[in-house]
Amino acid sequence: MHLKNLLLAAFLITADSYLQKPPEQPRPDIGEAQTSREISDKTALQNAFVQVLADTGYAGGVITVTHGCQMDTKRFHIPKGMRLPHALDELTASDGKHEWRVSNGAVVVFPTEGMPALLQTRIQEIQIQDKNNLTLAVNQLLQAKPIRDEIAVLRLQLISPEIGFQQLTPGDSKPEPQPFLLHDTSLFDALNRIATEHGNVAWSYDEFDCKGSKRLRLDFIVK
Amino acid sequence: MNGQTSGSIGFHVQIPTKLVRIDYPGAPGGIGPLNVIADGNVVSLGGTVLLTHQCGVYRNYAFDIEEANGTSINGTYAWTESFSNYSTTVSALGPPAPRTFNFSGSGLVSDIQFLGTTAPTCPGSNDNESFDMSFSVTIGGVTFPISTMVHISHGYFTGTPRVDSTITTP
Repeated sequence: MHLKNLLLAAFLITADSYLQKPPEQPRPDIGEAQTSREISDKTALQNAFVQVLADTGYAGGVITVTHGCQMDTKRFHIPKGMRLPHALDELTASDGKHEWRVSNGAVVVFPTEGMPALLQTRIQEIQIQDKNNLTLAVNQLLQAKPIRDEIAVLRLQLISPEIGFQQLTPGDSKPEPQPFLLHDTSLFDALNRIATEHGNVAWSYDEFDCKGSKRLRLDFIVK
Repeated sequence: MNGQTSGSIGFHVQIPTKLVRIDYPGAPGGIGPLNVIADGNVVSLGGTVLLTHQCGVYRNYAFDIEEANGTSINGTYAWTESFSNYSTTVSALGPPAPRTFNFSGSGLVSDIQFLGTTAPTCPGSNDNESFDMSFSVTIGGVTFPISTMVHISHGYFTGTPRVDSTITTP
C-alpha cells in the first residue's frame, strides 16, 4: 500500500513538473509585426519558426521533445506579410503539437504537453559574462550547479554544440563584455532574458528520446 | 543588375555566390591549427572565449563571402548554414536545425568546428561525426544560395583527434 502511494506521488510530481506551461502573460503588441518572407517548405519546426520571426525584431525560443532520433519535419505554408500572431497560429496549427506564447518579451513555441523539467529548474543567481556572447551564455547556464544536477537526475546527455560562424573584424578592438546578473530564475526565463537583452535572436531546446537514451541540444539558432 | 547604371545614378546589387578560404592571422590559408583540450576553453579566431571547461577537439577557419567576381560582400545580411548527410558514431541522432547569424559589415567570417563534452567527461576514443554544410545569404529579404558546400569530419577516430574540412563545391 505504501509502495503504491509512493509510486502515485512520484507520478504526480513528475507529471506536474512536466506539464507546467509558461506563465500566461499579456501579449505585448506584436500584432503590428509581419512576416518578411514566404514559407512554403517541408522543414523542421525550428527552421519554420526562425523564418516566421526573421526581421520582426522579436527574440524568441522554440522547445521540442522528440520521441525518436530525428527531428520531425512538417509542411508549412505561411505567406509573406502575414501579421505575426496569425503566422504563429498558422505555424502551430500546421505542426499540431506545439503552442505559442509571449514570455518575458520573447515569443516562445513550446510542446502542447508542457515544458520539459530541465527548463523549469531554478538558478538562484548567475552572472552572465557577456550578453552578446550567446554561446558562452548558454555554456554558463548549462554549467550552473542546479542545472548540472538536474541533467544528472534526468539522465540527459548533452550533444556537442554547433557553434557556427562569427564575423571577423580585423584591426578592431574587441567590444567590452556586457555582463548582467540573473536572480532566482528558471532556465527557461534565463534564456528568454538573454534573448531579449540581446534582441533579434532565437534559442532552441531540443530533447530526444533516442534508442533508450535521452539527449539534449541547447543552442542559439539565430545569433 | 550587377554593375549597371540607371540614368546618372550608378547602383550595384550585391549577389553573394561563394564562400572562399582566406589567409587570416592564426589561420594561414583559412585553416587554423588543431586544438586538443582536456579541460580548457574553446576560443574563436577573434580571441573570444566561447566555451569553458571542455574536453575535446576544435579548429578555426577563416572565410570570405564573395560575389561571383571575387568582391567581398558588404552591408547588413543574414548568413544561414544548413546541415545534411549527417552521420555520427556518438548516437543515432539526425542533423541539427539550420543556424542563422545576423552580420553587419564585410563578408569576412570565421567558423569553428568543435566536438567535445564538459570536463571531466571526455569524448570516447571513436566518437566522431561528419556532415555537409550548405549556405545562403539573405539581404533585404532576398535569399541568395551559396554554391560552396563544405564537408566536415571531426572528433576522435580510433583514438586520433581530427578536424577536417573539405570544400566540395568550389
